[in-house]
Amino acid sequence: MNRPVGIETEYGMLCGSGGDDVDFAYEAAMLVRSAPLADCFRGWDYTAEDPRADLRGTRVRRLDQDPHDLRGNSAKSRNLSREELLADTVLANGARLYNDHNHPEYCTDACLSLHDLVAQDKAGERVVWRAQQARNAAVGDGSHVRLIKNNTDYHGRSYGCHENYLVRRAVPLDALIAACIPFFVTRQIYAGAGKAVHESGRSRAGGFQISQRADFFETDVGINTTTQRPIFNTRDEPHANPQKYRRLHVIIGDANCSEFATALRVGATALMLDLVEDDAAPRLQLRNPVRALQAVSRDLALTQPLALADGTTIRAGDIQRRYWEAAQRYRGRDTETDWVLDEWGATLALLETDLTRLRDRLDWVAKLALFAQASGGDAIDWENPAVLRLDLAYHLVDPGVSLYHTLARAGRLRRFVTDEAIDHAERTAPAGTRAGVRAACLAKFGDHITDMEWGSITFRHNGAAFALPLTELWGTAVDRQQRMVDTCQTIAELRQIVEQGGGT
Amino acid sequence: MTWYAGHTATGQRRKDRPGRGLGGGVARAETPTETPTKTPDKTEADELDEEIKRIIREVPDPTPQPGGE
Repeated sequence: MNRPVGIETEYGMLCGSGGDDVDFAYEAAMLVRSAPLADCFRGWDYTAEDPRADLRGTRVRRLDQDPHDLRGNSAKSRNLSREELLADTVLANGARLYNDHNHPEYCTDACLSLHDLVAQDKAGERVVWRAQQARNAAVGDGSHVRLIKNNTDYHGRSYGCHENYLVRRAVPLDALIAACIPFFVTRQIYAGAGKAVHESGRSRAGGFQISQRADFFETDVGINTTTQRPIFNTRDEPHANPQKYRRLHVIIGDANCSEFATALRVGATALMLDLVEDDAAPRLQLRNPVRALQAVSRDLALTQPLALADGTTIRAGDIQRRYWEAAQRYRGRDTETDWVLDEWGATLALLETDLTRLRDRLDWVAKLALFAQASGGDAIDWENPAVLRLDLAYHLVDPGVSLYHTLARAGRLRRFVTDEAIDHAERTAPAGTRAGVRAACLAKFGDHITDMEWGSITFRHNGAAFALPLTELWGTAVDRQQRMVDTCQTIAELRQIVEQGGGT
Repeated sequence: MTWYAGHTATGQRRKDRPGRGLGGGVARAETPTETPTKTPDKTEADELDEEIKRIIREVPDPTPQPGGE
């Protein structure tokens, strides 16, 4: 990839038999705090964060929230301190684990390769799986909490899987939005996780659709995330040098279980952003992006014409093909780029000609194949409760009951990384990034760290505080910092170099 | 025509593909027949069916959760 990319995944939670008495805030906090982690740091400094800053140059007074999403705040969670409730944790691989909006969230640090990113994302699944085991062991009930890597509770509520792409600030915002919207509306045809329910408004009906998230988007562009969800989110928190970069905060994606789908989703999106930065993106404008998003999600045959603003129509696959054709200019740049171009093109072709063959790589197709298998090839009764259980089971993080893991073990789903790479990612930060500096500081000088945030680490030594700035995400400055931390033998030595201006 | 053609997104049965629904649990896979990453032999397919049956029995119904982001 030509830019740093990270993924944040909020995990769904099944708590006991459910019911209104479940305090999700408490359960999420306790689950995170139960995670058996070595060399971690507890805490996070939010003072530099501002989720109300808008890319359009404004700052909203407040972010809108759906009052239903505050459900579960009982006395148990109200008696926790803010720190206990948030349960902020920085892991040995530079990732974060915390309670976000009453869901456990694993956030990879930025990665420079698809291989590292997929491995880090999969490492997150293992971390939360062990947290689930530890929490259930602590309460003496193996089914007290079950985690799900999906984006819907099947009852009209959604939680997110966000991607973060660093984008040059110099790119005009209008051009970025114009290129992203048709791309985001249609990339679900290979990136969708699939679900066996329609959740239009607050009503529910049986039926299969490609995307888990499409039902929950209501507007084209906006800063809110939990209500009035926008296809293009305008939050302006670069977590990097704001003069040079934006962080494109993509909230429209599904959480993929398939390693292939994660790699293709992120790889294709990164190439789309290369096109925007090079002023080479296709010029397409949908007449009604939200309507198109939901139409594509329900169009399993992928033949639905989508209305463009110029009065013509185009199919979802043809929109993606326009981006894919434009991205051919990057062929030969590196092996990962060629992999994305090859697989993106092959996938678009198979979506038209032989969908069946994609069941070994795309989540929604694999899941649809499971439904077909379970029904013996007959018409599926989408109102049957077993349908929702099967859908849910695909996404469980417990490998013993996860249908995704069952298919993967049987060799029916393609892998993108090895188990050894995931083992490595659990212990090691993504290569060549500031996460490596953070991880090295944690391993060597963790006892002296008092605060962490994306852009700095604060240490205390002999009663005085000093901070190591981490304003660059990658490049020569980060390589220099990495060597510095790796060679420092003592905290006094690190402090001396930082205070002499050698830390940047 | 692929195996998804026997049903529609809204659950209506297509007239050209009559069927019995999912209610009977997991049946033997008649399709898909194309070669996936690894071609399972008959025993492996049977084992997979049994595994899917077991999981559907063990997994609870989804219950409401708060939304997030």
